[in-house]
Amino acid sequence: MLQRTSESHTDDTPPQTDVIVRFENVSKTYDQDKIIISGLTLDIERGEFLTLLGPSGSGKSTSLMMLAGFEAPSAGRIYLNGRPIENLPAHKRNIGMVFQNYALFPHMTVAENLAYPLRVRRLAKGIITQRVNRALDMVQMRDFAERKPALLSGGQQQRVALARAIVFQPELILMDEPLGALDKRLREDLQLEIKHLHQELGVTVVYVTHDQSEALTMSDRIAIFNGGRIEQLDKPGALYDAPQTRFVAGFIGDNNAIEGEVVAIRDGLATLVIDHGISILARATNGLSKGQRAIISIRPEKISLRAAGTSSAAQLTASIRDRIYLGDHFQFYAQTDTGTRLLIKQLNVAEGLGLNPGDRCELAWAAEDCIAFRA
Amino acid sequence: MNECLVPEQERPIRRAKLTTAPILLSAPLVVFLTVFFFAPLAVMLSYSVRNNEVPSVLPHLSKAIATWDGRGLPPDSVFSALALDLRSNNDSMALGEAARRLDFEAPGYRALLFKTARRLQAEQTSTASRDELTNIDARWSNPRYWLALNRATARLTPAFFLAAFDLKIDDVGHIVRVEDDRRVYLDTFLRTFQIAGTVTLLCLVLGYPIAFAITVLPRRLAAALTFSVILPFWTSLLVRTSAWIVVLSKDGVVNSFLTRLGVISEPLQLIFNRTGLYIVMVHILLPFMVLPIRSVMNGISPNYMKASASLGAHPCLGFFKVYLPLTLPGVGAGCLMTFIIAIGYYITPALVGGAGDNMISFFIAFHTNSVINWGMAAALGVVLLSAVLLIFGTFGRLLGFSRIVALK
Repeated sequence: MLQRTSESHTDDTPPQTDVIVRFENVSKTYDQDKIIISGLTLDIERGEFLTLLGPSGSGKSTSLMMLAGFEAPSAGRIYLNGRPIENLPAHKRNIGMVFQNYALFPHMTVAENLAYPLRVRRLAKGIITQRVNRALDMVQMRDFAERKPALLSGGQQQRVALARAIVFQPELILMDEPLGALDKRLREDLQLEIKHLHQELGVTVVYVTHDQSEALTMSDRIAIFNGGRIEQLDKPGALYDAPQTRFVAGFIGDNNAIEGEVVAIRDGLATLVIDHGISILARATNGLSKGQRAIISIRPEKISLRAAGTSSAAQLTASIRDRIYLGDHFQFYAQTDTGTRLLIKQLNVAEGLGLNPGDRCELAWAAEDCIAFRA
Repeated sequence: MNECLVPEQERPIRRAKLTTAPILLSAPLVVFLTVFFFAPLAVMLSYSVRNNEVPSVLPHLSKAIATWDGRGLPPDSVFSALALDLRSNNDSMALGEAARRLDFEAPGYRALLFKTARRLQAEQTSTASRDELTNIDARWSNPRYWLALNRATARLTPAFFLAAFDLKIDDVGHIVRVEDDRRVYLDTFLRTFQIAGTVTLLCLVLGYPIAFAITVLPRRLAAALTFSVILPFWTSLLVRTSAWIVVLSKDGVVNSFLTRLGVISEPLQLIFNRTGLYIVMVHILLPFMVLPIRSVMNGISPNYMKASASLGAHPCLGFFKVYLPLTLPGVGAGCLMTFIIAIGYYITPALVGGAGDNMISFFIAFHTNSVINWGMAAALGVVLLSAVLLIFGTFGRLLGFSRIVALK
């Protein structure tokens, strides 16, 4: 590892980040005209947990398949440890992979499944047994070594698939929606387990999912895919608090969108006028300029809700349409006088919980919680 | 964490409990099969051991000879019983059947029996039956013919089964091989299995890659390929076979093409020999190999091969270690089906095979239609059926019966 690090430093990579995988202007088209991925450029740092997140058809899986070697890019280059790999067949890439439906070989026992990559590499029998057992211990599946995969539950099969992907000690592991077929409880348990495994082994993980909470739970960084390109690549917190595009704001977490026009921008704060001449302050994102139509985005839990006439800093008045009790919090749907529907989340310790459908209310928020995007 | 280790519920295929509806629904077919298939089959099979041609014509003799110990010549009572039966016989058709049955035991018996019956009915004498019979033909003093009569009057006989293995019971009651020039069935059985085996192997070698191609090719090409494989199904067996005769004959399409190319100077003998038989049978039976293999291949997720590659195995290695083992159930089912169907072929070998290419079904048909020896036909049939059931059972054990009959 250390040696490799110093090696790659002699390349043109910046010294502080150690890049293991680099996508350079990669495109993928089918039948000449169907564009799956266009101009993808992405650096994956050694040891990080990177999630490719996006709706289906956004190109995240195709990117992963190109990295694994099951798809070839139509243009651009992919580097692994500084070496271009577009022409390297999948079996020579030494990349571990976990598939959505596990892809455990049904005619082999759990132990044989794990031994497969080691046998292929012609390791000695003793070493194979040792490594298989160690990998099985890591996922607590030692007791099931002699079982056939069909006799295991979904969660157990996924554990074995994980063990098989790490048993030959690859430095990069790809996971293609590995928890998609499991129920919610199990999925959450395994999310933590995969995260721990990642920390323990120090490997680089590239994880594909369409489940945003999964991505937020596990990732060091998340790349949000949309329409074949990356909308934003950032830490989970930054994606939520400082989305750079309207798509990201809407994709990660719940979001309210209010349309308005930019009348002034100063010190990164934009003043926007919405219907009824109400003006709102919001953080301006790149590319926003005076006179433009814009979308103001605000998170439901950042809005404070008061009964009408009790708030001094009210920005909008509205009437409550629905009130939903969700245990730890309430959700209110409010409609402004101009017809904009807003979602408001209130922890059940907050004020304003007594409001009922039909009641008038006042909504307030801090300017820095509000973000304006180009419409 | 611990909860994760609790296996989730297995999801076996839900099968309906046995209720009246499915029973009623299948009742018409069950009745049909019982009346027109199982019952006739059982009756036919029973012919392989049944032995009542002689007792029905010679009732007194059958009773009398049962008391004989089989040593030397039978007592007088047996002679007079035979004389009585033959004298009183007026159904020459039944007598003919009994005579044929006896001829099967000892050649020449047919003539002996008819001669004796004719003479007995023509002249009434008062001499003792023993002298009377030996006067008509000296063979009646030969114990051999009485022993044959003894064997032919038993209610059940192993003779047909023994004959199916080229064996017989000799005059002293030992099981011996039949004369060299009459040994046909063992060789024919072996040849049947050998031809069926070769055809199965050829079908596998040709069919496996086709099945794979159908699985991986784009939809349109796969459909075209499937169509061309299934096409033989839709043509009558006789038409197909005759078409092959045209294609493969001395001045047929293949030979003239090869001659024109200069590959061969003399036309090849491609038909009316083993080569022709293989070509035609493989063509006819290929779908039975391709379809089960293809159906298994269709169910194999491409992720297995991807997983194999991601684990570092060259695609060739992956094929042998992962893909091939997963297709084995299809291969087993295909081989089984092809082999079992091939075993029963007889029209095709008769039409396109050579003189020495007859398969066992030919003899079954021969004994059924030409010489009306239903006992022999039934015995050969039972042996063939047993072989098929044995193979089916073995494969079933290895692959699982539900897989073979495609319930899974």
